Amino acid sequence: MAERKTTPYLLSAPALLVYSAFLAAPLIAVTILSFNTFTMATGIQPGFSLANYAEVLTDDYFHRIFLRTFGLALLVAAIAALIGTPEAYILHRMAPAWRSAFLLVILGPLLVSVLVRTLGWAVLLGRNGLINSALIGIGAIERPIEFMYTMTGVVVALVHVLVPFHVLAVWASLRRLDPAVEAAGLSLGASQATVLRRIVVPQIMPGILSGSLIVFTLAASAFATPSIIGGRRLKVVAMTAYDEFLNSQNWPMGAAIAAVLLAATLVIVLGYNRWVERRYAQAFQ
Amino acid sequence: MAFLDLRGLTKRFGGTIAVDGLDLSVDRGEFVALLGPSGCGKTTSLHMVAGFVEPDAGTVRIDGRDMAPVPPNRRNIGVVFQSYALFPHMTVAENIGFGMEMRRVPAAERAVRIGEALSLVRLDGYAGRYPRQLSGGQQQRVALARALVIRPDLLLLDEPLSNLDAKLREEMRVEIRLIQRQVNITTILVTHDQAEALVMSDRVAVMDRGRIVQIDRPVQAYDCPANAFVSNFLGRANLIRAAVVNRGQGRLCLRAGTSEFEIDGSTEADEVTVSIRPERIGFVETGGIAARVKVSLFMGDQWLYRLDSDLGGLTVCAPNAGGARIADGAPVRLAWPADAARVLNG
Repeated sequence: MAERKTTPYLLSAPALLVYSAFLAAPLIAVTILSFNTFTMATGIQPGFSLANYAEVLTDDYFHRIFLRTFGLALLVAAIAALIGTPEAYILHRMAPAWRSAFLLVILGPLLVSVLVRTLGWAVLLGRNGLINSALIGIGAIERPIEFMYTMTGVVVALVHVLVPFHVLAVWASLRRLDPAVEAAGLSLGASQATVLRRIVVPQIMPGILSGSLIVFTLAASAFATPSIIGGRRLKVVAMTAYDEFLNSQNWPMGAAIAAVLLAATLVIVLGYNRWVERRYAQAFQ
Repeated sequence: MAFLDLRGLTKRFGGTIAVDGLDLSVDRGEFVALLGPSGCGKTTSLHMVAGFVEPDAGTVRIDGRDMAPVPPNRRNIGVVFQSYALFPHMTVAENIGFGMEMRRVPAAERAVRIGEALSLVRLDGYAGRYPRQLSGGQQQRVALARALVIRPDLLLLDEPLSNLDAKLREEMRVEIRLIQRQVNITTILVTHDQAEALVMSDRVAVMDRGRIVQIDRPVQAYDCPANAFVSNFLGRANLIRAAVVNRGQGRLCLRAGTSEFEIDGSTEADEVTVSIRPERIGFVETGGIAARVKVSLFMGDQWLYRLDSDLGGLTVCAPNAGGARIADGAPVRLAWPADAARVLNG
């Protein structure tokens, strides 16, 4: 029977190996790096120092960046939920032929590089971009609206990039929904709107919550979109870490910033998961 | 005029016709079963009555009122679904109370009626449970209570027992029937289970390819099937093709192969199909029709014999009265009373 016990481990060994080589190892390396010190004169000095963490956690400059990043992520997750949930429900109610076509439309953007899509948004949102030209052309506005290098622009672009993840999560939970429960709600006298609010939404809540969690974490760690649309003025955590690594050459500081971002995201994700599980435990086990 | 009146109800899905000019009248308090194989249009018909599916043609009238402009949530119809369709995030009491909540029944009255409904389906004390904490049979009862508590004009049961195991299914058949009589509600049952239809309903409507082929009281439908489809679908049937040798005075003399036999009935045709129920055929010592046992199947309360004969393959049911079974390959002689056979139309 001893053989039986090791079989699962042996079977998962290849995946485990790849996983540890490409995820765990860099993470450990970054963590070790974050405890080193750096000066312009001497470069990276090995050792164990908490100075980098102390700086990240006490400096107002970093506070602002972290606050901006999580605020942005929260806003993007909320908007993606507001757009993505109805989108998933509409998809769910479509005739099968239309559904597959529109599923492709929704997932299609995921096949295009984030960078390309973001550059596309830069073209659309610029001072002389399509949106401003069109608005001026129809006389809706006189001077171009500033999208580029503003929070609005970053949010719009990030929502577009991340909304498919929310749609997928909600759609997965909609597929588990018994179609007869909606009919049951109707037959008991509920209007279509009440059926949605009282019967459908509570049952797909786990999907909505996990979808927004995915969007939140991806938005919090987003790099390409904020750096192209937001630019240097609206630094987010990922950009800051990048700058420390490549501009200041202060790798230990960059590593510390990355580690704090990871830790903060993990705390939020785990805390949120615990809350969701407790909140919806009675009905979903 | 009938309480529920369906006239020329028709529904197409793409190129296929699901329900083809269905006519049905159901009296107040009556229990009618729509019986048929899957794909015969029975569930679609039910959904058109409930308003979930819009008919392409035809009318649904309840108590003389045309239902076409009435949306499903205003029809006041109780529906029990095959999957029960209980709301998993609500307790039993919340599930049962939902319909009354939608009708703005005051909370105090709601609580009283929830209690009454739970007693009706014998689930007192289960109010605070969630559906997943209940067995299939209990969920079934909650679904029934939830449908009845709104005091609907009409109760629709869509294959309500098909997810239960055999023993429970038999109990629930009787129970639902008794509850239906107690509250005296007009009921339509959709099922593919002939035993269920026969046991529970006042009248059985046998459906085939979107049409009702026969509607009768259960005994009538079983004993006098209108055609080969009904005869085969309701119970087991031996269908025998035979030539008419002689006719007169409500009696026919028929020949199949080299055997001749007499039955009650009349026909204009020279060749007929007759249906004989397996339980009406008996073994005799002499006379009758020669046959040979191909295989015998033990069913517990009865034996099922498959035989080869001059008339073709035959099936015979004999009650398990304790006697020895007839060996495979044994020659036997079969006979049946003249009123056991039915001449089928078409």
